Amino acid sequence: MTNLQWLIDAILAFNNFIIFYFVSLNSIYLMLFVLSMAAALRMARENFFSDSQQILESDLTLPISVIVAARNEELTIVETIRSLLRVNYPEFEVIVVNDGSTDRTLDVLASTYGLRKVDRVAKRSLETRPVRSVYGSLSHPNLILVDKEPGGKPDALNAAINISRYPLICSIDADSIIEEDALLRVVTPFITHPEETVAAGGIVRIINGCRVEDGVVKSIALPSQGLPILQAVEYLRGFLAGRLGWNAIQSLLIISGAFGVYRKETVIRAGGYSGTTDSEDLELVVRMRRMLREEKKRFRMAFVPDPVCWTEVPTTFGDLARQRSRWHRGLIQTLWSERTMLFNPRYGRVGLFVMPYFLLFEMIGPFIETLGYLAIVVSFILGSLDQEYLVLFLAVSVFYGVFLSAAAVLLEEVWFRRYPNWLDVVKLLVFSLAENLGYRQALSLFKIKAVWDLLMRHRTWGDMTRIRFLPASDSGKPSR
Amino acid sequence: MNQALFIVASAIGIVTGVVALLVIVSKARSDRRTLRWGRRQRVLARRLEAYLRGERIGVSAALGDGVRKRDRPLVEDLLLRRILLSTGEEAGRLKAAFEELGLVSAYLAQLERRGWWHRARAAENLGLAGAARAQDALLKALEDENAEVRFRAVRALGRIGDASVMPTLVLTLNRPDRFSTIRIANVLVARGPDILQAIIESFDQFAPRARVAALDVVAAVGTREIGDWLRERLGDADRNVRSRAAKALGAIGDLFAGPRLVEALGDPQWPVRAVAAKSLAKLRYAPAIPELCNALRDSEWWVRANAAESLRSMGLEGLSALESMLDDSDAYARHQAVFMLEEAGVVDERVGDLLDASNRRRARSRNFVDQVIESGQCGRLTDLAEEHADLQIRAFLSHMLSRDQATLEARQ
Repeated sequence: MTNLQWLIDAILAFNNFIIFYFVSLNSIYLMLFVLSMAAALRMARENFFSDSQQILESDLTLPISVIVAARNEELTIVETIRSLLRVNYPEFEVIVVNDGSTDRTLDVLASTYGLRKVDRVAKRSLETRPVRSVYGSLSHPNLILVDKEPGGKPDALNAAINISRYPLICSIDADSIIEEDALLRVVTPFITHPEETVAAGGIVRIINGCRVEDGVVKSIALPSQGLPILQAVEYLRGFLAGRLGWNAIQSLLIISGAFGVYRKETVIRAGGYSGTTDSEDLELVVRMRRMLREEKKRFRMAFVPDPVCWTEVPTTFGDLARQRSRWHRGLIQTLWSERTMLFNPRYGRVGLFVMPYFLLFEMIGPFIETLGYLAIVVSFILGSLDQEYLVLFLAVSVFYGVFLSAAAVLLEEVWFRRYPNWLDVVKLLVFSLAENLGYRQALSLFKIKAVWDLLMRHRTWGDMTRIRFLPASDSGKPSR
Repeated sequence: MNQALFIVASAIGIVTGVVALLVIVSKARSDRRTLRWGRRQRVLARRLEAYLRGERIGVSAALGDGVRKRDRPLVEDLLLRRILLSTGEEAGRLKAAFEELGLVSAYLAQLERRGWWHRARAAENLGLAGAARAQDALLKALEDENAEVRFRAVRALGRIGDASVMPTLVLTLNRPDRFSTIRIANVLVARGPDILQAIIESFDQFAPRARVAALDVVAAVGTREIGDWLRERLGDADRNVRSRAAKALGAIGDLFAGPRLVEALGDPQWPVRAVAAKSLAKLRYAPAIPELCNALRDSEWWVRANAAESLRSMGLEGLSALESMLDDSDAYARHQAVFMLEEAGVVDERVGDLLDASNRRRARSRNFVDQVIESGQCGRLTDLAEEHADLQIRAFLSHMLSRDQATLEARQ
């Protein structure tokens, strides 16, 4: 046994480290939650009168080019574009880029919207794979379809930027639907702080389970499957108790690719979307931050919690694993490519606090957590496990996780109230508990797999099995 | 250690339980309130309708023996929503209702409250309630420490202020703090041409950002009488002022601005050139066509794109100028010309004439198609070769495309 004393000592030291790590991480979460509460309260006070109508009617509202990259999206693309064409906004265009789809995405769009080839001349501000054709629609003059050689989502978005005409660009995922007033709301920071705002993002919510008609979410409900509900809780916590908090201290590092508005000139100066990482939205925001800090420019990136983008989430563990692995690869790649910002006072609180947080907790966290579980097993084998301590520690960990999720549900219920059914609210609370009993641990494993993928140089996009949006009249299960 | 952990776990567990309970209570309360408010508001709305139709003299009487305290927020909400949609006599009755129910006095009192959101809401509501007697209090609120309160006061004054507040309102554009000039500009736009004189008089006192916003207001509400003043702004040292002045000249349709805008096409700053090209389109100033053709070769993309759009909007003369650009040495000018001719339907029209009985028309259209093919921008021609209604034209166009393609390849 004495030969193994060093191992027992090491595990005890690791336990102490875990406690320190756990307290640090949860202190940050608590701080973010408190900041989120304060921000939500302030927003509720500011929004007692909506300025949407004024923004809609104003000649001075900045026009927007909505850009959508589509690859093999034949099941959802028509509804997505329909939702985009009917948004309330004074002047906008929708640019869809068909990135070498091998399914009927192009045909479905062409036949639905009466598209025909046009010889539109684009400014080639960003390098992209060759554009095959540009299509315009007689029935929808503000719809443009770009058909290009496959080059990945970042390349497709860059092609859309090249052809766009307006000073703001709004990227939307091809499997997402935005609410009618979403653009009016998300553009508010560009109006209230016109010279400083370079990017703004809205909240992403889960469309699985909702009923959609003519590109509009007609009724909001949680899905019947457990996995999407777990993600619904996770998204609520991530956006309402996370991003809102980061936004309050002007340290937002992510504007979701599913729904983000950017000042085009800044994006182009930063070099557009990059295909070098697997998470082009995160990478772009970090690169823009670095560029603007180096130029000593005053700038703002804002998160606005009420413009909603509804998106489809994975319904199988396989899809979820691929998606999360890609996101985590993107995080690691971005932290690596922008490593000069880490712990660097030149980049302000993002360099000194936010990026180190993402490195130490978001990137390394899954390893620490998994090592913690391994340490439990080893301690048990060595007979050095204090079972009472273990149970209490796990209880604190689980209760705290549940507290954060339930607090996000509370924020949702007090200020946003999107889920009208009692059953859905109860489901959110129940799954706040369930999320901590297996789901969170599975996510950690997916993230560890991401590192393995990176080491093995696997860079699959991880296409998700697409599900057609539920029609408002449909009461059955989603059709694949 | 374990005892400490037990205490922490219990505390977090209890707090979590409380949070879950709060979720349930909040949901129950909001559902109950929505249900109760909805029912009561429908009753009150019917009574308010009767008042608005003039069936009752006072709003208190119409709503039934005075308004109960717990109904006051419902009535206030009804009035505020209704007044946004009302004009004329109905708006007058609603304003009287705000006064009769003591809401205006309440808002004036709220303007003094500590919480900024109370003051902001009061300022906004005073504007909506059309409370002319609140003008002085709102002017004072323009100096409030909170930007949102100041902005709401500007909005309210924009709605209810008389001519005497115009100079003060215009100068709010000039505030060095962060409250948005765009939002204030919108308020000024809503005042219409009345605001122009105040803008002209204050223009020299404006900071650069305020000048730009002021010119945007002028573009939105300006009349041709202001043309002389705007043309002078084209000589300003600030490029943003020059470009906004060019935009405003197009927006107000100043017919005398043509020559100055043509001059602006040679401005050293591209934003001024781009906007000048656009404004010339709005004026349909045909003498600018040669200069616009020249602008198709500009080094800046936006200038070229706007010049092409401008030529397209100039009618037959502009389209003819675009046709003359098809053999230009500048590839971009050629491509942009083809695109505009496609958009204007000229390409389809000429293709339709390829087999026309008239020799002249036939020769003209074949020459045109040859030039388009040579420009290298054949997307629409390729489409027409596949889908034109006339099979003979399809065959002939396909032949032209393959022949010219072969010639082009041979040349390369």
